[in-house]
Formats: sequence, structure tokens, C-alpha cells
Amino acid sequence: MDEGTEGNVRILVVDDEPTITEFLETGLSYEGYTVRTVANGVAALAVAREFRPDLVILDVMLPGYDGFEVLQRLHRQDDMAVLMLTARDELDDTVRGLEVGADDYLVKPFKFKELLARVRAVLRRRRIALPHTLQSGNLRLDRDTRQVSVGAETVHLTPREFDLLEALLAHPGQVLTKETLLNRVWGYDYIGDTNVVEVHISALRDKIGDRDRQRIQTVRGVGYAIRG
Amino acid sequence: MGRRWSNWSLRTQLSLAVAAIMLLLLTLFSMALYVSVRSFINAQTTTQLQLQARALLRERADGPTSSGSHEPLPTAAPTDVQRAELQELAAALTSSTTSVVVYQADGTVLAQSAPAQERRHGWRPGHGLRGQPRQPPAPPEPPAPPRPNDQAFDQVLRGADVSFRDYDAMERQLAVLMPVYDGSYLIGVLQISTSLRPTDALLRWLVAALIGGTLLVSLTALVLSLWATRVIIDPLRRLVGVTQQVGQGDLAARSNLHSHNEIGALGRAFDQMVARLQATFAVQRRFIADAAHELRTPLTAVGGQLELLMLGAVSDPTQQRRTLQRMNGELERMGRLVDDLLTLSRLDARPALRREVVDLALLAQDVAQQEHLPTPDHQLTINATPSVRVIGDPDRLRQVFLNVLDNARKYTPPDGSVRVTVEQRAGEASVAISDTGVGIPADDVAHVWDRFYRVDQARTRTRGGAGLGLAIVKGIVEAHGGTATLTSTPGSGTTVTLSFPLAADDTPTAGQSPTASSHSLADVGVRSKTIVE
Repeated sequence: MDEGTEGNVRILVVDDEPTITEFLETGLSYEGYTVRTVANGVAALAVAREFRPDLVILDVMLPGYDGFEVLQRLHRQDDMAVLMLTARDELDDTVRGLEVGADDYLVKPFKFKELLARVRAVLRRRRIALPHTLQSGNLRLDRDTRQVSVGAETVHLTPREFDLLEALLAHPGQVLTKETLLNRVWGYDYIGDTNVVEVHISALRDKIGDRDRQRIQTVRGVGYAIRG
Repeated sequence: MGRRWSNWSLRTQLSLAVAAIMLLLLTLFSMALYVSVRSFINAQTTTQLQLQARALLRERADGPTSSGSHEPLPTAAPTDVQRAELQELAAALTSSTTSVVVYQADGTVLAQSAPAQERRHGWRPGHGLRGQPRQPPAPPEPPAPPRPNDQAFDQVLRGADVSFRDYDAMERQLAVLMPVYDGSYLIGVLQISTSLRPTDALLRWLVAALIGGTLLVSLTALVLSLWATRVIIDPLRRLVGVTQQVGQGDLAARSNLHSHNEIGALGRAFDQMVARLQATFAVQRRFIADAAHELRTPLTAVGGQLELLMLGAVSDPTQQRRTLQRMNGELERMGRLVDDLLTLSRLDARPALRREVVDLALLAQDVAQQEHLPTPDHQLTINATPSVRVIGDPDRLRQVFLNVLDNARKYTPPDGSVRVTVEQRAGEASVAISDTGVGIPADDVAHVWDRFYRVDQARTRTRGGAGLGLAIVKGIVEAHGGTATLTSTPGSGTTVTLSFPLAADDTPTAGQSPTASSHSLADVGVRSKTIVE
């Protein structure tokens, strides 16, 4: 299996709700995926031929062909991974979706984090190239084994430190605010001082040997960014 | 006992009641029969004795057999000849079943029959039937003739026949007292009596037969009632079972009672009721599911965008502002949906509507102008007969026009036209709103008034709402006593026709909606592409 980045993974979002497609496009692009959106089944089939997505996020209720019909036609074109979305939570719909070949099924409303986790799970099951490791210089993070190394030396991180480093490595060069890091690592429901981020960044710097703060740079008044 | 009785099954109660009633009626019947039979036999026996005695008395009688007077008759002591005759008379009347005593008027016995057993069998002590001496069993001593009481005896001395019954230690006897005359003088009183032993035996048998028969019939009635009530009550038990099933939530359960009696009618009525409940619950479930479905999509959008903001995925201020505007739009959409749901819920509760005079032509014009419906790009024509007035709630009626015109806007191309016709037709106020839009397929026309029904089953947001607009229109129109119909030709357009009862001509216009009443067609400003004919 080839190593790669999320940017190598193409996702086609098919939903007739502009607000849904827009937020999925924004969120998935932010996570590094290459995203295209369409609003109906006919367009989905056409774009899929040309875009050749690794994964299709497909709404059930679509104008023209419905989601099940689109799914069957997509599978006739190529055996691509499909994650279905629906606002209906009838068991029959779920069963039907999975029986006609969907890899997973998500009922609205859903959390973006859950969608992201399911996207990754589907891609893993499909053995579609995912960046199992994130690297910046000689700093390497393995998502599967949750191991971090600097050069040949293994670094032992706490779970929080690992998640913090993963968030920074996933967006190399991009400044992540303290609030963003808090939300990604500690969760939306975390109530507390943002100093906790500073404390963990400080500990992380010590462990990866970044005492001169060149690897994890502080953007004053904004947040942190990782530099190669 | 009361509690125990109420704890018994209906079948047991009915069966026991039938058996108890049967027992009571048969007991009363048996008692009446017993008394009647006993009276009849006694009367017959008395008559028989009287006839026997009277027949012989007539042969010798030279006086009245009965004076018919209440005064004591003159009496005379019998002569020797008369004594002999009376003794012969006694002997003649004596039989195997009767005993005779002749009294003088002073009560002394003048003549008395021999013991009946002795005469009947010719039996003598020490002689067998074949003349062989043997020791026979001692015969029962015949009862002594009954002795009349003074009152009965006095009545006879006054010339009346008297009967009385007498009990001794062994058996009951029936005796008849009759006066014996010689010319105008009463010379004696004849008493002829007979044992009631056979009669009593018959009556005892009758009592036993009646008691046995009553018990047997009552028991049989109990058994048959248990069987019959089982046949009757089994359908009720089935109904109880089905009711319990329904109570536990199984609305598909049915009694399927097809008999043509009252229980069958009850079963059919029950099944119909459950079917209606099932349909109502199905509609409600569907309604709730549809409402939840309609809310899920904007919730997902708002939640997702909020999540992206929190994750820092939207960092550009312009993009953040756009995201917040979209979230606001979704919240407004959810607000409209909740408003529509509340409107439908209130219409379902059949609220009392405001009752004001509303001029429909003015209202249509007002809505079109104020709400910019359909759109400035559509050509709107309002063809109105003046003073088509109805009694109703101006705000609700305004919502009707809003919803129908909004639909026309959504489904009519920008260069299309919308025509509103307000007129009196067939004694009603008629509003027809026609567009030159995409039209509705024939299969969908019948369903457009259903809640959450959308011709575009994908429920795309590009044009449609939640599918509640026409349901609200129908609810409001019907709340005003009107009707709403829709005709459509795919590709040509759609016409929604609303009919309302007209307001009476003399209905005062005071208090009518300012929106509807304070303008005339001439007053209403006409938009650039609006034509008022």
C-alpha cells in the first residue's frame, strides 16, 4: 500500500442541500481531502466518471435518481467506497443502503467529527491510501501504532500530547489557534483555561527536542504552527 | 358474597342465574300443582261419599235431605223401626273403604258399621284361606271412625252437609256428615268416612316426583346454560383478548367477529374503531417522522458549520461571516417550519376564528403588493369582481394567499404569469389562482394537500419548502367553511381554486380588517408588472 496524504484521497459529496455540501466541502478540504460536490444523482454519475473519487458521500433523497439508484449505478462504473447520508432513520432504509453496497450509513444530524472518523474507517477498510504516518523533517508520527520518533529515537508522549502533535502535523505550516487545538484535542465540551494548550505544547517541545521553538512555532496572539 | 359473586365469570353468573330462576319457577309450579291436586282429590272423595250416602238416603227418605235453613231443624227420636232401618242403612253404606256411623240428634251413636277388614276378607281368627288352621299375621287395626266436633255437628242439625278431615295416629280420614230425615223431622246424622291413605300415598309420590323433577330440570338447565353461555361468551372473550392486545400497542389486532347479532355488531364496531386509531396513529407517526426529517437537515447544517468554526476550519473572516449567515438562514428555516407545524396543530384543534368582513379582491391585491409575490419578474393579473366579501379571519386568509402565491412563485419561470380571479360563482366567493408554471403530474395532484407531501420526492431545497403550505391552505379554508381544489397540467401550469361562503349583503363592514377593508382596488398601488382588470 502506498503511503500518501489526505490530499491524494478524492471525495465526491452528493447532496441537494447546499448548506450541507458547503460545510462538508469546507470541513473535508480542511482535513486535507480533495473534494467535489454535486446536487443530484445524474451529475454525480457524470462527475464520478471524470473525478474518479475514492469515496462518495451520498445523500439518499436526491432529485432525479435517488441515493440507492445512484449507488447501484456507481458500482456498475467502479467499485468505489460509498458512505450514505440520510435524514430518515428507518431501519429499512439503513438495511437497504447497506444491502445495495454502501460501506457505511450515517443519519442526519451528525457530528462532523463522526463523519470524519467514518470516512477514515471506510477508507482503511477499503485499503485506500491514507497517510498512516505524518512527517515533518525527522519528526515522524505513526497513527496506527501511535508512536512518535525523532530521527531514530522513539519519543514517549501522553495521549493528549500525541493528539496535539497529530493536529499540528496534519496541517503543516498552518497556524492553529488555541481554541481550535482545544476543540480538536480536548473536545467541544471542554470548559477551562486555554493555558492547558500552552502547558502541553511546552511539554511536547521538551520531548521532541524543540527547545529553540523552531519546529513548533508560536504565532503570538493566534496559536501554533509546525514548520518543516 | 357480593365480592365472590362479582369475581365469578359472566358465564358462571348467567348459568347460575338461569338455574336459580328455573328452580324457583318449578318450585312455585310444583307447590301450586300439589295444592290443586290435593284439593281436587279431597273434593272428589267428598263428592263420592256424598253421592253414595245420598243415593241410599233417597231410597228411604220421606223428607228433605237438606233443609237449606240456618235454623236447627225439629228433631225426633227414631222409632225402633227407624233404628233398624238406620242400622241397615249403615250396613249398606259400609264397604271395604268406607265406615259409617249414625248418630242421634243428641250425639249418641245409633248405628255403626262393622270393621271393614273383617268384612272384606271374611276373616276369622284361627282360619286360613283354604280352611287350614294357621297363624295369620295380625291385620292392622282399622282406625276408629272419626268423631265430629260440635260445630260440624250443629251445622248438620241445621240441615247442611258437612265434611271434615280427621287425623289419628295411623292415618288421615275424610268424613261427611249428612242429616237423616223422617218427614219434617231430623231423626239422625249419618257420618260416612273413608281413609285418605291411598290419596296421601299418591300425594307423597307426587311431592317426590315434583321435587325430583324440579331438581333434575334445574340441574339440566344449569348444564345447558353453561354450554349456551359458553357459545355466547366466547366471542366476548375473544374481544377482551383483542382489546388487551390493542391496549398493549398492537393496533393490527382485530376481533374478526362476523356474527349478525349484537356481539357481532360490537366486534365490527370495535374493529372499525381500532382501524381508525391505527390510521390516525400512522398519520401521526408519519407526521412526526416527517417533521423530524425536516428539522434534521437544517440541524445538520447548523451543527456542522458550528463545528467547523470551532475546529478552526473556517478562519477567513469573510468566510466566517458567510458561514454565520448560512447558519442564520438555516435557523430561520427551522423557525418557519416550527411556525407551520404550530399553525397546523392549532388548526387541528379547531380554534375559534376571528369573524370579520374580508374583501377577498383587496386582500389578494394587498398580499401581492406587500409581499412582492409572486416576484417582480412574473406578470401578475388580478381579475376581481368588486365586493366579493366573506366572513373570516383576515390574518389566516392572508396566509392562504401568501402560501398559494408563494407556490406560484416557486414553480413558475421568471417570464411566466400568474392570474388571480376573484368572483362570485354559484352563490359562493370564488378565488382562482392560476400560474403558467411547471405543473404537477396527475398522480401527485390528489396528494398535494397532504402534510409534508412534495411532488419532488427528493425534497430538494432548491425550490420547495417542507410541504406544509398547501396543507395549511386547506386547513384554513375548511375552517372558514370553504373548499380548496387544485387542477394542473404538467408543463402548462396549475390552478388553485378556493371557495368560501359569501358574507350576507347586509353584513356591517364595521370592524373589518384594515388590510382588507380600508383600500379599494383603485387605491392599491400597481407594481410594474401587475395588471388589475
